[in-house]
This record gives sequence, structure tokens and C-alpha cells, in this order.
Amino acid sequence: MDKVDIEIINSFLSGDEESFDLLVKRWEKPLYIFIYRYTKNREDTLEILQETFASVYKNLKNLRNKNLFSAWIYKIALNYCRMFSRREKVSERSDPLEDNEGNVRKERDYFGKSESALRPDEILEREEIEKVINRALDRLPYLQREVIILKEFSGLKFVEIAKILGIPVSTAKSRMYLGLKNLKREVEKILKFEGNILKGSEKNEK
Amino acid sequence: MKSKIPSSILGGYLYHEISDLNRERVEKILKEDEDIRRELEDMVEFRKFLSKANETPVGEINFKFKRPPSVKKFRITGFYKIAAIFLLFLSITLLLMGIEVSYTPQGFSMRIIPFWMKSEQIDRDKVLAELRRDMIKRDMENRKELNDALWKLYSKIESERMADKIMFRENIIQMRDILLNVADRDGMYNTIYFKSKYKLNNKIPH
Repeated sequence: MDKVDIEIINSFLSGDEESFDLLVKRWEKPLYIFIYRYTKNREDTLEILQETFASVYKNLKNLRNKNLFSAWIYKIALNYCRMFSRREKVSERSDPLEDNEGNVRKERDYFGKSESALRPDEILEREEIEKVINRALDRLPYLQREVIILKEFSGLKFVEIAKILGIPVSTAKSRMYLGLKNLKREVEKILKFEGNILKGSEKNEK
Repeated sequence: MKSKIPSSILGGYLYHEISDLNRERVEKILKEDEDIRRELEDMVEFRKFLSKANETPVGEINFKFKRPPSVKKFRITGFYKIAAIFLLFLSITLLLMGIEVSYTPQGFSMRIIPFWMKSEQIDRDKVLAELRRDMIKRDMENRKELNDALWKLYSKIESERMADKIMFRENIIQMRDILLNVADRDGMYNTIYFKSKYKLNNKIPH
């Protein structure tokens, strides 16, 4: 836990309302990246981000151990993401990355800005990879998916993941490894399937 | 085939979150077991593949946290605590005890009867009321007889001798006062009943 966070929290709890904005500034990006993995679109991500910070704003005074703030805030975000996933399941949204015509949505630019640092072919490649990974992730058991998102995409330590999910560290490591193996298998399946389609369409063209 | 190394340890090794002792154990096994070594190499490669879709985005989120509507803070001060304890105590008292309000010659009186004593008290009150009614009844009869006798005697004397009449009248008034005092001592109901029904004081001429 960052000391700066603790100072900001203490300042907020002692009545400095403005210091909460600093906390938002520090945590909006990591949380955005984390939430985005669940929602896969900017609007829902911002909505969950707002709900997460609103919950933090209301309940920060109840957090006894300030050192657990990072795990606590991720846990709140995770709960909102789980709720979102349940809602999405109910509404049976098939592939949020594709529109009605099957085109990949242009939502790679996380923060609503295009990544001009990359070449167009690189952007295209990344979009394709992300699409495949997202599909593969959706096929994993949610317990493994959560650990992968927290570890691989949010870059948390296993100790933090264990605290967020309320599981032993060894379980977090085990879920990560098995989840990664499953994810690899699913990615390979998807790539193989798409490769076959590609080959099929090439043959037809000839 | 079951791996020689638990998946939790492999997970820790893959992400460099492992104790030195376990790392040495894993490396020793990796030298001997080519399958595990290849599996781990594949995983490292796969992580590189994942990282292609996992670059930290640059730019601003453009997220603006909207504070939830603020409710005026209600702080539980010492005063509120005492008031709450008092109310709680009062509620429990009222719940556990019955309150009886009655009227006596001295004014209104209120007494609290605990619920566990209430039935016993009611029984006792009933018996006392019954006894009192009997006593009053007997008393009234006696007094009526006495009054009638005195009245007869007074009438007789009045018709015979004037001097004795005056003296005897004084005696009768004294006796009447004693009688009324007794009635007063017996209580309000007794007195009122006695005075209103028999009007002893009116019957005796001053």
C-alpha cells in the first residue's frame, strides 16, 4: 500500500473533501483497465468506475486497515463487475466486441483517444489479438478468469489477489497457472478455427 | 499425467513470486523433466502474446467523479447516546411494568406495578375492595340505626323539656362529629357515600 494513499485517505477522513479527487486521480486508470476487461466498452466501464468510487466515498470511513485499501477498492470494483456480468448474461449479449454486422468495434482506444503511437497494421494486430483473448477469456471458469484479469491485466501481486478474492495465496497461484493453461488452449482453438475459415475462404476464391 | 510440481508453485515460479527454496526445487526438477520445462517455456511465450494486448494505454480517461448527494452528517454525540440509553430504559420499563393511575382525597397518584406482580396485585385489590364494601355496608347499617335512634331520642326530648334539649343537642352534635370523623378516616368513598346517601349532617339540626 502506497504511503501517499494513506495520507490522502487520512486527509479525506479528517474532513478535506477535495483530497478524494486525488484518490480518484490515482486509481481511475488501474481500475478502468481492470473494469474494461469485464465490460469491454467505455460507457459501462465509466459507469462502474463511478459506482466504485461512490461506494469508496461512502464507506471509506469504515475501512479499518488502511493498508488494505488497494485490495478493498479492487474488491468493490470486482463486485460491480460481477453484477454487470450477471446482467449481461441475462440480456444474452453475444459478443460485445462486434456490432450487428459482425464488425469489430473500434474500442481499442481505452481512453477514448486513438493510439497514434502505433502503426495502423500494429493497431489492427492488437485489436485482433485482444478480440481472440477476450473470446477465450469468456470461455474460462469465472474463478480462473478473475485471477487472470487481476494478475495479467491489472498487474497485482498474488498476495493482493488473495486478499481481494478471499482465498489463500497458493490457491490464487494455482488458479492463475491452470487458468493460463486453459486460456492458452482456448486461444489456440480459436486461432485454429479462424485459420481454417481463412483457408476455406482462400480455396473458394481460387 | 500428474505434474511433479504443484500448479501453485509453478504459478509462483512463472510470475517470480516464489520463495528461494521453492525456486531451487523447481529449477532442479526442470533440469530433469523436459515436459515441465517445455510447458513452462510455452507459458512464458504465451504471456508475451498476452502482453501484446495488454499495453498500458496512454492518455486521459476523461472521467469525472460525481459525488453522491451529501446527507448532512449526523454524529452520535454523548448527548444522543445518553438520550438513546434513557429512551431504551424507559421503553423497557414501560414494557415490563404496568402503570396504575388512581384518585385519592390527596389528588391523583400513579404507581408502577411490575407485570410479574400485576396479577397478584389485582387479586389482592379485589379482595380488599370486597372487604371494604362489606365493611362500608355494615358500617352504614350501624350508622343508620344509630342516627335514627339519636333522632328519635332528640325528637322525644325536644317535645318534653327545652333546657335538656339544648344540652342534649350538644351531645348529639359531638356524637355526629365523631361519627363523621370515623367515616373520613375510612376513606373517600366511604365518606362520600355516607354523606350523600344518608345526609347525616343535614338531618341533625344545628
